[in-house]
Amino acid sequence: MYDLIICDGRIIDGSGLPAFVGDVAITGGIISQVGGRVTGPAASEIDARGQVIAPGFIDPHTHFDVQLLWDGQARPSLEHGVTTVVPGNCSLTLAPLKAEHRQRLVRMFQQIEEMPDAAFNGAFEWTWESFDGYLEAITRQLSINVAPLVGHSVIRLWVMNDDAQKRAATPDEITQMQDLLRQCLTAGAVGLSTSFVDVDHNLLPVPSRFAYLEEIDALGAVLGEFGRMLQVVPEFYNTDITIARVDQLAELSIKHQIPTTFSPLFDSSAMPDNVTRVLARVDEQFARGARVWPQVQTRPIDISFNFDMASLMFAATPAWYMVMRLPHDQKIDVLKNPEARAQLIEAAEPGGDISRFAELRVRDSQNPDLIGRRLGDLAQERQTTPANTMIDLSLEEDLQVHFLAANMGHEDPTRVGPIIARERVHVGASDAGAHIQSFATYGDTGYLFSEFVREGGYLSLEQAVKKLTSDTAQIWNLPNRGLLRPGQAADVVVFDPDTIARDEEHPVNDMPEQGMRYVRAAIGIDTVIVNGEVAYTHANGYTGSTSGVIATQPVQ
Amino acid sequence: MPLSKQREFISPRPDDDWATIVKRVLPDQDPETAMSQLKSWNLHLFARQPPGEFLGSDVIFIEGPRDGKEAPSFFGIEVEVS
Repeated sequence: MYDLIICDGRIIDGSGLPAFVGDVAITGGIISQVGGRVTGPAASEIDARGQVIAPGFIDPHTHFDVQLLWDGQARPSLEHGVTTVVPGNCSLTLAPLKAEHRQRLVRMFQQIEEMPDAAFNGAFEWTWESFDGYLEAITRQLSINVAPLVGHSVIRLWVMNDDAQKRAATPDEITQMQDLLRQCLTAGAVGLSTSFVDVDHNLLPVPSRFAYLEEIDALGAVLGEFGRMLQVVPEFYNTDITIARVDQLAELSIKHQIPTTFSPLFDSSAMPDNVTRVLARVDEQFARGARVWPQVQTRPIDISFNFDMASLMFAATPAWYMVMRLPHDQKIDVLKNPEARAQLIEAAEPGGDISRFAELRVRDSQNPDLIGRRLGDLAQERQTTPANTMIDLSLEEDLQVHFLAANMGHEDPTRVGPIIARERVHVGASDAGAHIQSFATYGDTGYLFSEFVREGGYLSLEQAVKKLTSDTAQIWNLPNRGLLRPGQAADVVVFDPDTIARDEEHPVNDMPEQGMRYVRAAIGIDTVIVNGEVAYTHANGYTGSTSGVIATQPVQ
Repeated sequence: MPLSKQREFISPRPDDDWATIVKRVLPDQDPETAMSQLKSWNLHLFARQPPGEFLGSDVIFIEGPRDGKEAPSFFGIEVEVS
């Protein structure tokens, strides 16, 4: 007897081969039959007429490390059809981590990934220091599969303590780091993440950036023992440096026979030949036998923000960024101080150039007449500048007015579509679970189908599914996942190919202590199945299933 | 397939400073001129705090940018934020 039969769907098996109509049967969490009319009794059936049956989507760049401790469903990623997530990117993970380093790491997470304090303090109990202890903590309630990276910065911190952010490692310390990495990989880590760009809460470079090449090479050797991934954050805002990073990764890939990936890679009118040049180098390195996978996100860069937080929006304006990091009341005092305000205005609108914030719009306000208005237009009405208007509006509503900077880059589908369709481009870089008060990092999968399959026709439905499933599973060496084939783990998504999309971004207060974040609901997703158990249905929502596993191990 | 010519770079060694790098990669040039040239090729290390201080993981270019000018940067980012 089967546990579940999904009947009469359009099967897209993840291989890129053409779709066909048939049934999919599941027994014991494993796919037992694909295609044909499955006969025999089943505990339950899903009618998939008119819908696609596909492998569950895999998101290779997330920061769900902390959310998984209180939300094993990784909401709302699961309802978008994502059945496996890779947390631990960008050198930061919650393990291995000594108790005395916890708050230091929390502040790094808050700074780099824009996550609120309540997410870390009070929402869960720290019960671990080791990597396997962390895995034990999250697997108690997992609805979604997890393939966790281990962070280079925390490995360095464990071995070198305060010196992790001061100096080169000694040969003995590098050996200790290798041993620690080996333990993490044995426990189930999918690879190592490192960062070349991030700074901590004191604006000090994160520990991984103090590593010399010999340290990274030594850790690469350990990855080679396991055939595991090296993920890096390169200087994505500079083409020449990104190409240099591609070359470094290629050398490590060939020497240690490991896959590598870097994220993000953006298209931008400010750097029109960036992607072309970087991908040309990627192609050359693949031709040498290296594996250097550029991760490209599907969504344009939209940043939402208010003055109550230190948003990425102000990253390029340090004077503003420092003010935004102040406590609430102190920040208001500074914004009301004429001298300080004059300095901020000059920094944002040097010499009276008001272009920087003119195109921003009011996203949310107590005054409905303001919502959707351009700051440039409001400034004209108020006979002032956009920067002054933004400060005034914020002060009028106790810093709670939300603004939207739309299409900050990566926004032209006629350029992004052909990039995503390339064979050596890895669709990813969603950042799901991070930057939660700046933009919604969910729904990139739906956007791939709505914008680049249906609207632009840059990929076929089968190619898009392959990108999100078997390509990702193979790039990351996730055994028995990413394909609808007998013997594979039964991670399945049933969706309507004519409507699948991401819904509008909106704020919700579902973080610990009613904290706010931006999310998007899914459109067109009917059913999501994880290891044979229904985890989400459009009709009834999340089921509370706990069938998620650490996805680096072969299924039994 | 041979790799195309791209901007050459090195990774610093422990105990490196600008002077040791100059000595290693531009040994035949006047040290002062070479130092100035090397720094001009690495403006990305001077657009952050503290200016000109490099870390073990940094990329250090040992020749100038293509077309003799720095490539434009994305989103106006010149500081260290991802």
